[in-house]
Amino acid sequence: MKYWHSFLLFLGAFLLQSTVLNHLSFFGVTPNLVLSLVIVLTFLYDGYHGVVGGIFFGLIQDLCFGEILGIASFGYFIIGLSILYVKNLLYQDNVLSMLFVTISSTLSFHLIYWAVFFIFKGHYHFLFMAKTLPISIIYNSIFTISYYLIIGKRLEKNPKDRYV
Amino acid sequence: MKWFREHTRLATVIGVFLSLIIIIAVSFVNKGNNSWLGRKLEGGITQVQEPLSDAGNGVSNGFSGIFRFRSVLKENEKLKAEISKLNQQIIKNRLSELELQELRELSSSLNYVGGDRSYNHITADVIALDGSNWFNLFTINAGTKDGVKKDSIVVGGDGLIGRVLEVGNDWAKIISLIDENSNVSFQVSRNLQLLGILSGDGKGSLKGYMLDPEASVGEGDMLLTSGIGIYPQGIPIGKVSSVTLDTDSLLKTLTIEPVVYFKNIQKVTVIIPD
Repeated sequence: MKYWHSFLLFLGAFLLQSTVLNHLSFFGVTPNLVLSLVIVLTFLYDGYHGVVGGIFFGLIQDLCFGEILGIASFGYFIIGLSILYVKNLLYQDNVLSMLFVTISSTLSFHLIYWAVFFIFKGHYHFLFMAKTLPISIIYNSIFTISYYLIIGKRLEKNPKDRYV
Repeated sequence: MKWFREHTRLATVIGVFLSLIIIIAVSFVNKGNNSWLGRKLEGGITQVQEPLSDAGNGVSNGFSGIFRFRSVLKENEKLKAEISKLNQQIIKNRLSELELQELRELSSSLNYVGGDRSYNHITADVIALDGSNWFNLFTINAGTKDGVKKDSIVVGGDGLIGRVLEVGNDWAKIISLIDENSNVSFQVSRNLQLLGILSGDGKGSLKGYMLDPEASVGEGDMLLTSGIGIYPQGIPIGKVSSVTLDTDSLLKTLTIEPVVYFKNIQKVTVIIPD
């Protein structure tokens, strides 16, 4: 994967998320495509696509919608780094590891976001964050799993030759 | 230097980490003031978001129209009934308008210095919504070229939405009432003498208290802005959903259900003081 490919993917995800996907929100929860892309690109590919894209588009996201710049970016950065580390411990060819990574990353992203906001504004309630968490996890898992099943598997022409 | 050359990856990670923390801290201190680069970037992004958002609106309205034609018919009937009611209201209001004009003339002849401010209105479309699922910040397609200023008031068809947080040439970023720590003073529409103060409660709703702990306020009372502070008088804010007397502070505290459903806003009106 080339860096401008991942840039285009992130750009598309960001634009869709802020405009069209708001109409698909369920109980007021919109799928977080940028986070899903950070997870997928870091977990499935070599290199730092997910981390770099996450930092850059996190900043743009904050610029457009955040009150304080850099929070989403910080969250994506930490998530990307953790996945880079965990990736070597998990078996990448299994859907369940994808699911596990998605669930734990969404959970930690929400926790990081809440923690930073709590430090700076001290105003947001933990339960308010926790309420949107289950639907967020389901939405993000649907995206990452379908990406894994549809695109992720086709990248290796002969998946079994991978370790030869 | 040698350490940096040996640990390039670690050094980069630490560098990015520290710079992100610095960015967060600096933007926290200069809240609401974007740099030149930020404004240009956001202006460019809104150019792309506007047509996309229009397309999304069209598709979702078309779909929901097809699948919910029964409820649309029902809504149509309801709206027709409401129109006839409003027409009657207009006639009544015209009478009280004449009365008000007379009173204004009277007050100017008495040299009374009133808070008689006039306002301009602009209607704008919401072109992008925050995707973080927590906050209700959104971007509209009107900016300084239409006269929108920082802290202009934004209302919807139902009532008060919030205020302008940041503004560019042809876009403005709106922060909703429920995301704010700052206080808004209100009055109860049933009895305009009853005043209180409310703010966001951090759980997606509003909380407030009455200035007079013995004020008779009950569930279902409509709250309006009182005209004290930046918000002009008489804009609906929300309905009281519960009242409790705090025995420690001896204050009557309220939880308030906002009249606006913040997750589905498509058109807003910006009120600009002349």
